Amino acid sequence: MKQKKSVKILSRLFIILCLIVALAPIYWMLNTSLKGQAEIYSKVPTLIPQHPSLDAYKYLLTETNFLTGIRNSLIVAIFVSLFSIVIAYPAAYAIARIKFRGKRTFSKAILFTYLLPTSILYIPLYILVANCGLTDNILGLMLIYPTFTLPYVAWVLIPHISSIPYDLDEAAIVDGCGRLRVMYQIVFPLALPGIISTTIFAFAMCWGEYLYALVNITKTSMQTFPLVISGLIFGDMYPWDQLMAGAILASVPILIIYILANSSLVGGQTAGGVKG
Amino acid sequence: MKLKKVAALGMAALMAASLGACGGSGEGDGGAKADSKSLTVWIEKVFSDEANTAMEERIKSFAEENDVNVNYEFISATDFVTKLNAAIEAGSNIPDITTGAVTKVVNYYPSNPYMDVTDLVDEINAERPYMQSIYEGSKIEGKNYFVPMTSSSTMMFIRKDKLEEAGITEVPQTWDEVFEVAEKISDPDNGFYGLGMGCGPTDEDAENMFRMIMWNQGGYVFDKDGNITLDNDAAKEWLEKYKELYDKEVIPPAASTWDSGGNNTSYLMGESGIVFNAPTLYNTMATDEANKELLENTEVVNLPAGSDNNTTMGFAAGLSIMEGCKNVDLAKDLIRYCMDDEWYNEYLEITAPVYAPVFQDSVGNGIWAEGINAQVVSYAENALGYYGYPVESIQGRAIAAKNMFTFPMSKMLNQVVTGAEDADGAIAGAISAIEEVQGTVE
Repeated sequence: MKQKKSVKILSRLFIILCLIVALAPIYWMLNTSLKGQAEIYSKVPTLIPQHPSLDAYKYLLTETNFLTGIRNSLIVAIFVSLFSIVIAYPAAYAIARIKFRGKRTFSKAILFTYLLPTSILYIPLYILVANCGLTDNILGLMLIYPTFTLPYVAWVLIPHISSIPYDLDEAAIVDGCGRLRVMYQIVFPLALPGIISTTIFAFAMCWGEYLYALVNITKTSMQTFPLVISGLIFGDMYPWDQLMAGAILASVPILIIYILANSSLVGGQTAGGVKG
Repeated sequence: MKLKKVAALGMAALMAASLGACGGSGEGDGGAKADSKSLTVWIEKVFSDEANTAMEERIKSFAEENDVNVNYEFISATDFVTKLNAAIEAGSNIPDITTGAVTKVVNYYPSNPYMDVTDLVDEINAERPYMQSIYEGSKIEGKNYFVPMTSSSTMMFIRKDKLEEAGITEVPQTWDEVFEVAEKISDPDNGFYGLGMGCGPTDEDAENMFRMIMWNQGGYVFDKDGNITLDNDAAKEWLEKYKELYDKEVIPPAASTWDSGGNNTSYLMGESGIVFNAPTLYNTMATDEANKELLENTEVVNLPAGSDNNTTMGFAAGLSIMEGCKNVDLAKDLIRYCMDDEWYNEYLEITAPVYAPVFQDSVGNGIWAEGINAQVVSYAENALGYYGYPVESIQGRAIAAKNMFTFPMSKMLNQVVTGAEDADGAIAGAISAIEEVQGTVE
């Protein structure tokens, strides 16, 4: 009994330690965002702001186009993450479930595409977007971002779909279901936790993307928020309070999405779905 | 069914929002003027919102007065080169006018996406003579690829109170005096170091300072013909002096990890007695009430001289016209408009002291006659140096400029203080790094 109790205490202490490690950078961002320049650069860092001020937030929200940037980022990230799921799910399903010639090559090609570094692709993609007349427009980003979200989503969904017992597909086919119905009405709901978590990750990839946005967007009204934050830097005196305020505000939408999706991220729905 | 409806509504709302957003506000495009000439201008943002606004207003007013379209955008300095490179490499959406500087131009060698604007510079110079250092320093093989507009600087920031405490009444005038004073005011036991000069392997300030100190002592990385001459006495002596100061804790121990923000942070923290930085450090102190006392205790002066000369690194910048510009005359008119005496003087007053004016008539005149403003003008007058100085060919300057981005001088300092190499070994390593760059450029 005593041993159980001490294990419980130790595990809780470990969780607390993990939480401190995970939350410390976020706390430091918040802390810095509330300080003035002099306090930020003081010899002894202060754990709690001595003269907390919301000036950095006020500046961001009233003097810059940060809110426009957030709006543009939201539009791009929502569109691209949903579009990626719509396209990548059938691809992942086909690779996970259907036997066809070249399946392994196709599957490896997806991984290879995902691993291509952005620094190689940004000029060719810029030319593509320019030829489509979409530079300086978030539509250009909507065209580019799927190049990295699609292979990522497909690659992550393949094992999710594979983990769902194939017997369920067979049973549905025996009962007269077509392949499409099996894919969308049987497997899709069961793969939903994986799909939702993958969508969130795809969203996060687009949300913080910087390089493609940087080379493709120049107009202030079209900038995504990472560009707005980067634009706050002049020379070697970084406005850390504003940069951190921007980072805090930009993390809010991601946080909300995680919280909203949390209830859907339940696994084990297929447990007991098949006998034996 | 409900879920489908919600999803459909959501997608519809998203599409509507995207279309709305994609339409944009037309900001910066000066409105649509059918059948008229147009220009696209990319300006590198400067540190002051007020200055950026003043430039924006000037461009707008040019567009209105001439009834032309001017699409302008202000781009942060950290993003500027990446964006311009992408446009140049892709060969599309290249602006007509951009912020230009010598280093920007030579970095594209053997290509040159900038137009020769020597005639325009000479025309402006005839009406209002440039400082000799700016006029000569902004030429590459006798040609101008940008119209010089501003000159930034590196100043010496000194804690007057610490000098007084040590019984020192005069601000040091030479590098030897600086090191001597730094040693006297150091108090490492109480976390105070005389000289806040970094040696992190990517410290741009250290890179520039090393070069300037070496020049002032008569040593150069290259000779006029582009031969590498880094293995010189001045370089070796300075490396050894730096190590001596570092070992004596005249320089903060953390200096070996600094980037270019390290020295100003150290000064603002009250950790360093003497630092070398752009006047942005002055602005930071001047705009924050909490730094009032530090500012009162600070003297800002031009860099000291060496035993050989007092040449400083030129940081002149201005406006360039890009090759492929379809309305060259209009682009030149816009640049002339931005160099108009009255507006230019007002603009430079906003940017003071970070930017100094580039014209000779500013020396000792108006707001430039005293205080830190006089010091930045004095710096500009001596700013004949550039990466590779005194090499003359564009190829030699390109090698030096490309090499600068690998921070060879900072790395030498870093290797010496960390004991990875002695002075000779560090110099040999730097020379071999320069030779590698030479190979790629040639």
